[in-house]
Amino acid sequence: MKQSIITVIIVFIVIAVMSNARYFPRMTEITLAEPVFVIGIDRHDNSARVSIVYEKIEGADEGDNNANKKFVDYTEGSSPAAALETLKKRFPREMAISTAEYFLIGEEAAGGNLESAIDFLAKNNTLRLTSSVFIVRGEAGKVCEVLVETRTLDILRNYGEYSGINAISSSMEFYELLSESVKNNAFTVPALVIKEQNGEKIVVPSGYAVIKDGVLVGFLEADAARGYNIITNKSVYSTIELTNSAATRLENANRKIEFRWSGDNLTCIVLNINLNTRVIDSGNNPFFFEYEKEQNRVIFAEVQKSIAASKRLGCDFLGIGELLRMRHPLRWERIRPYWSEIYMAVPIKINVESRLS
Amino acid sequence: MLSQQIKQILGEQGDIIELDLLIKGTKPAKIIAVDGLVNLRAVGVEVVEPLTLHGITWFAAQKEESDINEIVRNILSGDAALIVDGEEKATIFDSKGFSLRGISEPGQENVIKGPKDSFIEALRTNTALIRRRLNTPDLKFTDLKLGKEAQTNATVVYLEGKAEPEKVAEVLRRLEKISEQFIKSTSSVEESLKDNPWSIFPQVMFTERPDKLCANIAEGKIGILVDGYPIAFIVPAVFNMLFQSGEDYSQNYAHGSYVRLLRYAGAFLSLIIPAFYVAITTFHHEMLPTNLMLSIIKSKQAVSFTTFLEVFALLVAFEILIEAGIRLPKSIGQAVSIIGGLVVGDAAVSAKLISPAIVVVVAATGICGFVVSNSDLANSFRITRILLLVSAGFAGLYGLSLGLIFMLYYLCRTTSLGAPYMTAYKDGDSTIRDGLLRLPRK
Repeated sequence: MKQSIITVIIVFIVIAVMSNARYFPRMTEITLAEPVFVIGIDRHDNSARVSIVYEKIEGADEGDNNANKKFVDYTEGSSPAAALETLKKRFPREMAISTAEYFLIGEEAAGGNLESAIDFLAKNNTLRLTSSVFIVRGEAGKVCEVLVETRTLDILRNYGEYSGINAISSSMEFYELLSESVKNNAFTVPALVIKEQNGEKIVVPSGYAVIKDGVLVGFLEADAARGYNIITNKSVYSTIELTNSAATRLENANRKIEFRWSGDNLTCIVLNINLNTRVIDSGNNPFFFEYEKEQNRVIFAEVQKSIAASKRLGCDFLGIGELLRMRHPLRWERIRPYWSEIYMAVPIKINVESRLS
Repeated sequence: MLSQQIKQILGEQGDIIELDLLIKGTKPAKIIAVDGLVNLRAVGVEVVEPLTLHGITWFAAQKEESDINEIVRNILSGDAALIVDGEEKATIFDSKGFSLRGISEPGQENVIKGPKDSFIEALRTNTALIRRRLNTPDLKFTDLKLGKEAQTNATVVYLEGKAEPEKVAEVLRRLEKISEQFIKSTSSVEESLKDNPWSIFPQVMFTERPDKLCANIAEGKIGILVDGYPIAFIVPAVFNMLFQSGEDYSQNYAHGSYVRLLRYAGAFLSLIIPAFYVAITTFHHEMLPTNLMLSIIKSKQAVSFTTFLEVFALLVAFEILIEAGIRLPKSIGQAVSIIGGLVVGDAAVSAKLISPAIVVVVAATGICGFVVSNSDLANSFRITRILLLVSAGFAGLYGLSLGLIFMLYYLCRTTSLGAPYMTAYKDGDSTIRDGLLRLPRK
């Protein structure tokens, strides 16, 4: 028995040393924790602002009006970490940031240096890797306030998990953001914006934020977001609105990219898109074959906009270079140093065909 | 005279019978027996009458014995001793006639599609049940006496050629080393058979069922039967045997495998549920979905105790309830357990002594624990889960992992009669075939 205990202690020490563990997990009674739902990061000049959305626990039992109500709090600091520490000290309870399900990064914070925001979130090793990430057009703090005032925090879940329903955005989890920031120098992050509707402010998806070399360079608008989704094989399930009050449902799209070469020179990229659609509103036009032509035009325009946006912003966030690397690795090795120039110059042809049922 | 010596040893006792007779009407002799243990009618008809009339007896089971201590032991075991005047030896007639309960259904190991007989307190009846099933000359019974003072009859049963002779010899050696005056309980035998009597995990299996004992003997295991106890011990008993049930082998292999996997899952869950709950609610809040965390916080709002104390106290209360349920008379025990659990549990939640989530956790633990078919193993798990709870209470999932590693290490180091405890899991084939699953026989 004694030998067993000594062996276990030795094993424990070896594991602790090899895992670089310096301390035991910290004990905090769950009743002392105040769960946080959203963490927002903004930047103003040289200071960082961290906003949080949390729910008050006290008073929940006595049927207080504040039960289930969310609150916003924020503070500033020289860095997001410093701001968060200040915020933690203000809380009467333990602020459980590990429960945050959404991370919002403001436009200025992403435009200055997205990597520092990612770093701040990643270094806090209790944060969930599966939390959804959004970049906000404007201030993340304002979005937090609108979500709390209108009690529409759950809408973020729809924009995250169910965003495929309208193909105007998609979800991105924090571990995906970490992976993209390491693998690719250009990628997109779903974007949110505050809009006014019927005199009320609401938070809506706003396409994608385009990141290049760790910095926000621009946005891909909502009307080009579907085109981007088609090119990158994301969810495209959505409604195509046509003239004469007609509408069709885009159920899925297959895209094939061909690279045309002249020797080692890439002369053209051909994008062939096949759509599967069905009529949901026949409108005033009895001729269905015209619907196919019209929806082809709509999708063509959206795909063209997303390609134009990528060229305008000067980065291949559509992933065409990656496809080229996978299909033609030897040629890719030769053209890789010049890819950004080649991509700007190479024509991209788009062919859209659809099957209407 | 021999009969005088025997009377001196036994003393004046109300239940000792002395019967004087004349063999063939001429030679005096005495029969000594114990009233209540001996079959007086058999003695009268098959011993006294023929001896008196013809000078012979046609009693089937008889032997000559000259050792006075052995004669006394036989008398006290229920035999009748015939001592002829002038002779220094006695004739012992195996005429036991004490009341026994009949062979009935097993109390704990009931199966649907299997035999319904079980062992009883009489050793010879039990050996007969085994002999009926394994009628092969290789089946060997080695009789011995246990206890220094009151020599309780016991027998070691094995199949020659299947059981390892060294292990049989070791079992006999360990049983002969029992230093107690008399066998007070099964633990006297069990602890003598264990490699490590301090271990909390069972190293000896017991069964009420003759068919289960025969199945194990046929696989090379060794059985031990003790007079006065309606169970048989089986050694070596390794870990996977404790998860096996007779029902597994009488059902379709798919269902047998499924139920066995359920047992493993239930056992594992019963070990870790309380510790895991304490770990994630005290150390690792980030693992809880936010809404669940809110729900737990709100339900625990007015409870003054820490999660660890709540779980620990409720586990102990659960154990007390189980023990009380065993001691109470059958007619009211179950009702009291249920009502006590429901009423006390409900009152405790209303009084904010515990939170509802803890009640669910402990109830789930208890139900999962009952899935384990072997009661000794289930009892070991009841202790182990408390230890894992303490380790989780100190260091969260890290402590729980450490506890589980230590438990696995301890199990791997445990042996039963020299056989490694985890031997069934030594390779993939044995693990799947009769370890985790119950596959069809080849």
